[in-house]
Order: sequence, then C-alpha cells, then structure tokens
Amino acid sequence: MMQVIYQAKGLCKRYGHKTALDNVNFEILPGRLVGLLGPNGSGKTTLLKLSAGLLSPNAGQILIGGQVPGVATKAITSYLPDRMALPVEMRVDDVVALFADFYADFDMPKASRMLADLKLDPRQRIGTMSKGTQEKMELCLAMSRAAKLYLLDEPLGGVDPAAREYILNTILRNYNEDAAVVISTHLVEDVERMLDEVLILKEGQLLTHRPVDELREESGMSLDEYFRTTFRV
Amino acid sequence: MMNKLLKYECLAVGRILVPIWAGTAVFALLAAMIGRLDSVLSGTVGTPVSAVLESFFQILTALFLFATIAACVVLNIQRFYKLLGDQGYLMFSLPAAPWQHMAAKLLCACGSTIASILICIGCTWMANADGEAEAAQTVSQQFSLQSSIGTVFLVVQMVLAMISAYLYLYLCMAIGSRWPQQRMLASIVTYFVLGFALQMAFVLLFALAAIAMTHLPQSVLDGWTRFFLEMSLHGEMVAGIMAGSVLLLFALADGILWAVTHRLISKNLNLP
Amino acid sequence: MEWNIESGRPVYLQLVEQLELAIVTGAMPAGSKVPPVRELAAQAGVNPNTMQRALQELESRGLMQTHRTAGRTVSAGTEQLDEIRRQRAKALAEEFWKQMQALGINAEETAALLCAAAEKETI
Repeated sequence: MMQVIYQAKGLCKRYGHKTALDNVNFEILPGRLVGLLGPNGSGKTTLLKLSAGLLSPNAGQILIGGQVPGVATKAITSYLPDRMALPVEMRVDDVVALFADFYADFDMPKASRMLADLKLDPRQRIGTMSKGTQEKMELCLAMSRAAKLYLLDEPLGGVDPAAREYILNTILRNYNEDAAVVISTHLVEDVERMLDEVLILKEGQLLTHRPVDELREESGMSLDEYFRTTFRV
Repeated sequence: MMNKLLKYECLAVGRILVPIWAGTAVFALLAAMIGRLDSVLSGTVGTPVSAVLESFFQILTALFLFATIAACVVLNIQRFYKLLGDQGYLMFSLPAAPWQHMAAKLLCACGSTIASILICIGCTWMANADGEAEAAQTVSQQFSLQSSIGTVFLVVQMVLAMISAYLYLYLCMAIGSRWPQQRMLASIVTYFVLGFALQMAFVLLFALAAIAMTHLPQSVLDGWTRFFLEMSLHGEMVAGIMAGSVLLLFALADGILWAVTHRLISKNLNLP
Repeated sequence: MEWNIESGRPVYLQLVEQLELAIVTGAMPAGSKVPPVRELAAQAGVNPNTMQRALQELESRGLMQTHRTAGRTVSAGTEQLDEIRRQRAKALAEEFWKQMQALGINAEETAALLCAAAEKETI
C-alpha cells in the first residue's frame, strides 16, 4: 500500500475578506500526474504556494510526505512558480551551482545536458534571455531535481506552441516516477493527454477529483470540453 | 545550510563592495601621496596651488568615504528588500528556515558595514598621516583612550545599535510587504509612521513614569534618595551598572525587533 | 510509429487500439523488443501510468510478454494476429458498407467501386 505523498485536509486560506481556498481535501499517491485546473482566481496558485511553504493556511493543513510544509518538505518538493523567480543579474551557471549547492537531490549532469539542449551559454545573464527561454530554463532546473513532489504553476504560460511541446515533453521524460507531479494550467487541451487525475477548483472549492479517463468515459467529452462546459459563463 | 546562505550572501555583497573599497583605498592613497609631496609641490608650482590640490583631493576622499558607507547601507537594505520580492520565490523555496535567511542577511550587513567603517578609518588615517611618527602617535593615542573596558563598551554599544538599525529597517520592509502592490511606498511610510509611534510611546512612558513617581509615598522616595546617595559613593560601580543596563536595553530592543520581523516573514510571508 | 491520440476518448483505450494496430501491421513485428514505458509514453505524449496500463492490457491479451531479463517483447502468434486482422477488417467493412448505404449506393455498385480502387492500386 503506497503512502500518500501529498494531501490537503480541511485547507482554508483567506486574504482579508476574500476566501481563496475553502475546505479543500484531497490525497495524491506517488507516481501520479495530476492536473490542477480552474478558472483564474479559483485558488490554484494559492494552493501551490501553500504547498511550497510560501504561505500559511488560516485553517487545515497540507501534508507532504506526512509533514507540514517546512524545511524538510522543501528539500523534497520542486516548485516552479508562475513568475520569473531567478535573479536576473545571475548567470546560468551561477544558478545551476546554487541549485546544486542547496538541493541534495539535484542532478547536475542532467541539468547541464538539458540546458545544453537549449543552446544556452553558461556565462549568459538570465536578464538577457527571452521570456520563453527563461521559462524553459526554469523548468529544466525544476525537473533536474529528483523530488518526491513536483509543483508546476502554469509551466506553459506565455510561451509559444513549439516551446509548449518542448516543455510537456521535458516534463514527461524527466520526472521521477516515484514522485507526484501537479501541473496547474488553464491550457487544458495541451496537457490533458498526459494527466492521470485532475483536481478542479472553482472559487476556492474543490469541485472534482477524478481520474481523467473516468471523466472522459462518463461524460463522453474530452477534459477540455468538460472544463469548458463546467465553467460556461 | 546557514554556511551556504552566508557564503552566497557574502559573495553577492562582496561583488559590489570590494571594488568600491578598492577604489576608495586607491583614492586615499593618492590623497596621501599628494599630501606627502606637499613640500615638493609648493616648491615647484607655488604654495597656493599645492594647497588647492591637497584640499581638492581631501574633499574628494571625504566624498568617497561617505559614498562607501552609503553604498554599503543602501546595498544591504536592497538585499533584504529583494528577498521579500520576486527573489523570495527562489529563496524561500530553498530548504532553509526563514530565521536563517534573516540571520545571513543581518550578519553580512553588519559585517560589511563594520568593514566599510574600518576601511574609512584606515583611509582617513592614511590620507592625513604625515609620516610614520605621527601615525604611531595616533595609534597609541587611540589605545590609551579612557580604559580599555570603556572602549569595549563603546564598540559593543555601537554594534548593538547598528544591529537595531538594520533590524528596524528589516521590520519596516516586512510590514510594508503586507501591501505587495505598493511595497516600496508602504515600507517607507512604515519607517516614518512606526518611528514616530515608537518615539511617542517612549515620551508617553516617561511622562507616565514621572507622574507616577510624584504620587509615590514619601517613605519610598526617602528610601530611594538614601539608595542613590549610597550609590554615588561607588562611582565606578554605578557607571558600570548603567553601561550594562544600556547594553541590555539595546539587546532587548534587538530581540523584540528580531522576533516580530521573524514572525512576519515566517507565518505571514506575502510575496508579490 | 505514428501516434494519434484524441482527447475525446479515454486515452488508455486509444493506446491499446493503436498498439494492437502497430502489431498487426508489422510496425511492431513479432519477437521485437518493446521500447521502455517512459520512452513510448513520451513519444505518444501521454503519461507513463496510462501507457503502462495499455501495455499490461496487451499482455493480458497475449500480444505482449514480459521476460525477466529481456524486458517486454511482442509475442503475438501468427494465428492470433490473423484473427485480429480478420476482426478489424470485418469491422472496417461493416462500417464502410453502412456509410455506402447512407450515400444510397447499393451492394453491386459498392463492390464495383472496391474492385476499381484495388485495380488502381496495382496499376
């Protein structure tokens, strides 16, 4: 019996008067590729930030490997934020060295290979790269870790279709199969073939948590169509 | 983890400050050499010109020294400010506790400030010393100043004060980050508002204490008067106790500033 | 091999279908080694868990086999493949006939059309 690697229990988060997450409960087993879907403002980024330990919940808890987010979980969680987090004045090889230094599970040869595939000059400053290249680089660094949980917040955002394919392919080829991968996106069409399960959030509440193939069989629709139907304005 | 954070912090700070320090040192050296050449210069180009040159270089050196300290302080403020910005996503995802991030930044800030001050002292000394004899005299003067305990007290006092200055700035930035959209403005406003509030609080505290004292029964006042008369006979001990209390108060203030700031960045982290 | 996964139907079913087709057409010949799950999954753009399920289904149908040392191979016997071919051809024919009927074309015309198409190929 596999142990649940990632779970939420009665999770609530408020920003002032606005409720971002309301009583969210789920359990994710290792080896699953999970889609975190929902319209803008549904709480996806909040959930991921809470899981990465960058926010504290108002009620309930998140458990990663049985522990609340903290130093121990950060060592086994690879978080890719939805914004550019790398210091723009740093050079590529500086950032790689930083990751290698702080993360015991960082695979330096793999990272070097992936970055070489991107044709990146190691001495290049991050600030001089195009947005698409920056995103790809961040993803490569995130996937070079042998983490137990990958949290990818909008990894496809603001990137052209060719780059999107590259990113999805990179995720598929590089994730550690004992790990769970959570991908938050609203580009459902692009990712749905990859997903095992889906968590659908609406206004801070967990609407659905189902295996994707089950949803497809039941509804007779693709996940993308199901999503559009559910959130039809 | 702490070592690694410190290493990165020092490298990042050093990258900017070391060239500045080097530049300042070079400039002070130039000023010193011009000073030494004074006699030669006044002989060749005339006394007024050499005097002007000398003053010119001294003013420039002074500006450089001021710029060095200013750059150091601004840089350290900037580094903490960035930590609570986009960079926070990277930094706080690292497997390190928030207090470690704070400690690394604070240690580097204090270290680099002390280094900057020492460099400035060194440069001043270098620029103004007109020979080894005078230099030696100045140095021995420094060390016989008061008692060595007094100097130690002064140094510790200044370090604690510096820590509290930085911690206060960190606290303002931590409070300011509760308004992520106007973080800069909020931090600056907090700086003034909080400062004003604290000053008012102290004034109020002293006023209340003074009023309270006037209402104390005569016997208590008499007792205290006797106590203080006793104490005034032991001048050194009194000085020691007072010095110690001042240090304690600063340490207490530092502790409070640290605790509140730490609480804000661990439980109430609010990255933009 | 070419993968053509649509989003409207369960991915797992499509994978099983397309793998079976590959075996029948010889794209994955009998006795050949099956690429590792991760590789196949990345090619098809699906996640390894789903691919694993599909491969296991094919194993339970006897079309593939896992050896302890050699990994997974295509183990379909010729009779089995012929049977599958026949089933698929039958299904295709029935579907084709239904579509011809919908166009209003009778059986004779249909047969003639098929022969003409076959001849065109051989010429």
